[in-house]
Amino acid sequence: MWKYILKRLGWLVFTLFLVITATFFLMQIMPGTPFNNPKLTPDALAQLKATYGLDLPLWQQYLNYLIGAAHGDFGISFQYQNQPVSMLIGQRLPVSAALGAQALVVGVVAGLIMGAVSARNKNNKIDGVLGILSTLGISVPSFILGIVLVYLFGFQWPIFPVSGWGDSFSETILPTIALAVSPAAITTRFVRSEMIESLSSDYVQLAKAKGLSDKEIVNKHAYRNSMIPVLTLIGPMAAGLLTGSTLIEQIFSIPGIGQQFVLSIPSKDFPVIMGTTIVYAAMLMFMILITDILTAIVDPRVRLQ
Amino acid sequence: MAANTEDFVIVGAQSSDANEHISKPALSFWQDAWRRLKLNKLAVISMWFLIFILAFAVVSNIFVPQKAANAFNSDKVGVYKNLPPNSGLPIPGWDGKIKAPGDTTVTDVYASQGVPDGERFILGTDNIGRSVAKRVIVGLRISLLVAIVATLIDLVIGVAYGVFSGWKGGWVDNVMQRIIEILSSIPNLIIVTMLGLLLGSGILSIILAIAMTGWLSMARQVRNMTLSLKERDYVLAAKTLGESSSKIAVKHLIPNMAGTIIVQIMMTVPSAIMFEAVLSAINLGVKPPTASLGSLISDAQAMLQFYPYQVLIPSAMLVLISLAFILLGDGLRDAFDPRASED
Repeated sequence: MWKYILKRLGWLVFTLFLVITATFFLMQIMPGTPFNNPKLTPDALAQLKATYGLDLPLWQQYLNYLIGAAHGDFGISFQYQNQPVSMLIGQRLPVSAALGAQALVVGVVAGLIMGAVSARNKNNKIDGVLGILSTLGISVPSFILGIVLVYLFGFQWPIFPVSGWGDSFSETILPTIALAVSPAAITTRFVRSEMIESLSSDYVQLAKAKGLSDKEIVNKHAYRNSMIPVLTLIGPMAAGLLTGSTLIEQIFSIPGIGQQFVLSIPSKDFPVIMGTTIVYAAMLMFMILITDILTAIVDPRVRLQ
Repeated sequence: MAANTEDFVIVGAQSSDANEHISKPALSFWQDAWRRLKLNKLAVISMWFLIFILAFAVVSNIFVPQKAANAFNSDKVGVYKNLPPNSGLPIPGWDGKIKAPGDTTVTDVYASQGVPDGERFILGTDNIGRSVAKRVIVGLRISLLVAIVATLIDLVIGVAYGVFSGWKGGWVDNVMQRIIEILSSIPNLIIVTMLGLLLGSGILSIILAIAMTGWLSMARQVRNMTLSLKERDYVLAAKTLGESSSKIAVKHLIPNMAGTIIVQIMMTVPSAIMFEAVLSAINLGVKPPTASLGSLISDAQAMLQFYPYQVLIPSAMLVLISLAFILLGDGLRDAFDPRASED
């Protein structure tokens, strides 16, 4: 088990190194510069470049960046002078993480319940309705859902606030729903098919033959085994949440790193773009690693493979 | 005592030959899949809807050229701007009247802005007086173009990569799978944004940026199929007879995984449409006056409170197309592999 975790951690560091290298050199060949102000004199420009370390040879810039990144230092923002990128990200990361975690928990729990209900009502009306809902949930991108929610519950029937973060719980409701629908839909579909499979498996047949009650069979045998594979879905769902949350943070004016990322694109604030990219990639890789380890702990069959 | 055939009478059938005969006609894989797909009403409706939309997107080039949808009369912006949808029928919400937020009565915007009698816009107009209907038609074309070309690129790269990796096996497969693993641990949003930044904003660069992320899952699925198919007898036979690897791939492997590939395509198109909209929302999409469904949504989003139809109409279009692709994809998966869905 420890060998497995170590091996995976090694891969994670190597992949992260590749991501940092790729982003660094991509940024070098990006068109445009944030210093294209015609008012800048050559002297001022040289001074600016010295401030950001852009006058050094490329290999030294790369080395400096790599060493900095290993310490969590991603340089200084072009856009907000004197603000280290790590500080900008550090302020905003908890907000995004809270929103993402809230959406993931709500989505997965709702999906676990709906999937089980769907499987138990296989091929009747309830199953049909839940099937349609989950297909819809997969088809509607979260930012469109966010816009529709703002329109319905912010303007038509002003029940919830539509912007801000951190003042009250009610502010978090609409963005959480917008983000949670897709994980809920994915989990529902997955749990349903897993549970239908396990309800017809040998160990459920045995439990039936032993005379266990229907409730016991479902709760103790079928449902537990259907929940394990859901863990493997968390990685891909987290990736979806990352994409969704950037736009959701825009729509609901939530001060998370997604909003920062989007704002830094038109202003060509390369240090911020690079920093967020690396943090995003690291977060996703870490999520995948954790779910893989959890799966291996919960399901011994995985470890053997 | 020897049994004599004349002593026995065949009951219930004309002859023993007739009994042996299986009356069901032999169906090819595609006929069988089609027969099963037809039973799934939602999938069939989705299929006809998509055929209609694709045909409409092509034919609409004749009666709604891009120039007509982009053009606006700068002298009459005040007259034609932000007109609500008007069907010409007294349907509330679709009669050219709108209740502005805070107002208690509805106003006839067409009359108050002085639009000449008889002129109406079935889906309203945008903030500089262009017909939303025309803009959505043009946007639909661009979005579909981006999504379909990106999917085709994914198809070519994904299938070639997957078949090669699976067929070669050994260390080549190992290295190629590690590359996929590394790429898929980077969020798609980041790859799309980086490429969008690097290539600038043109339709081609948007297509490339989207295509670069979509081929991964295609390659993975095709590789897994290749691994199992290459052990089959017919592939071994072709190998023994001296067929070249590339011919085996084209003639034996790919046709036998066509079902999986088609289902995968059905899933890639909606995600490409979505990523186009995401690019628009982060200012890396098509540049005005060109419209895509995504740019229409993000441009009008600021005015959601006052002119919701400008956002909701292109949004509804985007969702309907994604939904149709996903429903058809689900239907096709069940049709191609009935055992997987037999409950």
